[in-house]
Amino acid sequence: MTTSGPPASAPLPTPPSSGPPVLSYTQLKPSRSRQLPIYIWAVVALALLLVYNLIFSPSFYHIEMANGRLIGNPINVLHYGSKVMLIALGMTLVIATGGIDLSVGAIMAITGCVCGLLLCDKNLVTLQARTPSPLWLALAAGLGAAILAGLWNGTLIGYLKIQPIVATLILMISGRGLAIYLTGGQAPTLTLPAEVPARLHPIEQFLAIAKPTFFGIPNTILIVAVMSLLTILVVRRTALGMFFESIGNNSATCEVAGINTRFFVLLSYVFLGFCCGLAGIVDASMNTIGDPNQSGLDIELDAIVAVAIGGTSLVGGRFSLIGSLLGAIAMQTLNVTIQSSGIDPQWNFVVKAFVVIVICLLQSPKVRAKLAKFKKSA
Amino acid sequence: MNSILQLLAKRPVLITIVVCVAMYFLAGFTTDRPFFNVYTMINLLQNNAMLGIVAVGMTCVILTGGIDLSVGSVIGWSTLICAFLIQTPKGQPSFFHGWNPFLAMATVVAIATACGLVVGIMVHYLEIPPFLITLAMLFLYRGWALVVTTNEISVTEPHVKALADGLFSVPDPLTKVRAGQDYIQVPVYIRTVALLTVLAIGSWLVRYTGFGRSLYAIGGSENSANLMGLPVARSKVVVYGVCSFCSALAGLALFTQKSAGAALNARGNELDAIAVTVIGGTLLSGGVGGIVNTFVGLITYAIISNAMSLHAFPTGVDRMDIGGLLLAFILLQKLLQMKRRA
Repeated sequence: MTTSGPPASAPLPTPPSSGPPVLSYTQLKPSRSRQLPIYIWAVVALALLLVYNLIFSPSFYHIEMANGRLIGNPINVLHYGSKVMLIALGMTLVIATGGIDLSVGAIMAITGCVCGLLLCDKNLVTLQARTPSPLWLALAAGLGAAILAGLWNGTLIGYLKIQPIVATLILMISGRGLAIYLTGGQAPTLTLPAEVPARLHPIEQFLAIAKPTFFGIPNTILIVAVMSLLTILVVRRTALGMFFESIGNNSATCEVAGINTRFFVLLSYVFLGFCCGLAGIVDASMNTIGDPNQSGLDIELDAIVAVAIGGTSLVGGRFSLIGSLLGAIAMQTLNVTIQSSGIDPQWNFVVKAFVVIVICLLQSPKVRAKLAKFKKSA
Repeated sequence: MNSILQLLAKRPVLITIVVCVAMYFLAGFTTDRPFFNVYTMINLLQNNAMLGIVAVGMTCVILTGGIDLSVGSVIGWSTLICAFLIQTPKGQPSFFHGWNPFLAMATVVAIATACGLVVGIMVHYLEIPPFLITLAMLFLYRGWALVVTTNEISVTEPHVKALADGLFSVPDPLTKVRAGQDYIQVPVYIRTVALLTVLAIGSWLVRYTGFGRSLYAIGGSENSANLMGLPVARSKVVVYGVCSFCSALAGLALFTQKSAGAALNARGNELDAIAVTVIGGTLLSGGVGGIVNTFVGLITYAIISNAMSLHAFPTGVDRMDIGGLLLAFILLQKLLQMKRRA
């Protein structure tokens, strides 16, 4: 490493050396610098934040057990970051196919409202009493709605070949409208009626989703862990991930090569829909309300930023699920760090903006070429 | 029948016009309030001036095949910064307070335009996807405004008040001969005037100048535009400046409407602007469309939201309706494209 570069910079993948444009086998073989994981920047960002906290607010790392639950900033990061992490998982696959989904927040809102409506013990519009549905029905209906939304997006994009931004814009605009329509403009609050035995009430069971059960670890973290593991296993241990990447690289070639591109595009959006459904359930359970307006507001931007930090190429063709998870954790750590060090939370937006700009610059091929040239001459 | 289809394939805006007129009469005949008069139309324009001005800039960017997600944030930011500069918190003008309102407005527009040009440079010379860099600008403007203050700033400056009321005192022409001249209040629909001016200049710019034509060429194929010797770099940089300029103007329209600024104003407005542009028939892949299309899209959008508010529809249906309209137009465009190719 030369001393000229920025301190935390890792060697960037250098383009083939200049000279006669003949590609030999040794040039095609990935060089050592290429073997750095593509999520290196997420690791660097997270490490910088953690070191900052180690120096300036060591209490950040303090975890304690109180009333059978773990309390502390690291737990908070994972607990409150779980929504973005879940969505980032699905978003990574969608972006890998060269798509994007702006409707994730709306899908979350729909799921939360469907669950809330089924669990409430009165009709929100007519205020008539009704028996709350059992938990499994509420969850199934919520996740079903989310999967339907994913199917809708996937059909428009995969089969009708509508641009992803526009296609998901439709659901983004009308999805919240649908949620408001379903709830009649009222947000179903999930509070326990006083006279019912608490343990057996489905709302109690629903609220337990965001509460700790397993050694004081909140269930949300467990949900994210299981989902991440399953996704990484299925996507990376089968050819599925390669299909997604190759569709993002060149959809037409894939089609010719015999891959059913339309189906795999549909699959990625359906999976994202499912992830949004889980995130919507987590959100409703965390905030004890199925809010059609506020649930998942602006979460699409956070998820896209998390995916970008994680090294996934935003034009498709290359992805890292671990990177996206780390990116989401880094963003949430940033939130919590800003909060705990007494800076106005409004600075969050500004810092996020600069993070995105830096990521953009780092991903830009022009800037990379310049950097590589600069390094060589130094 | 076939010739009609061919005509429609050539000019998709005709469909939007038909829908627009149909919605207008549908809305008018199904409401018991007076609808078919000039006031309804002026109200439509007054209330949607901000959206229309933004949509003009957005259309220019979309014509090149790009996108600008930061427009909503620029609007919120410009209302806040304007109010911040004009107000005098303790009655004491200082360096950052008590500015002349017109100077403040000019400053805000200038800053936004400069930032837009920087974005354009990043998009063209550094080949950063416009989606991403404008996403960063979305955060940056919103954050900047929120860091200044999270509260709403109301402005009581007389010029701003006059702009807000749309009433201007002019010397009464009838009493001109007398020594002590009287003043009368003349209503001026300032936002409507601004909207129509921006639309007129925009459509002239896009249709009849080299800059405008190069936008279409870039949207059609950037390589070909380059090979034809068109100033691709200049046009691509400038168009993001134009979009930010329009957004800041729209912010001023909102500011004069409310005579107050808040950081979270116009949240999500970028999507409405995109929706209006698409409903008008401008293709998001670039190269097809125009400002006139966007105007038709704006009126359609405005009539639908107005009709929705006149009727007692269940809440939430208006959003679904606009989504449905968007879908219908996109599918229609798809169909016509396929027809044209066949």
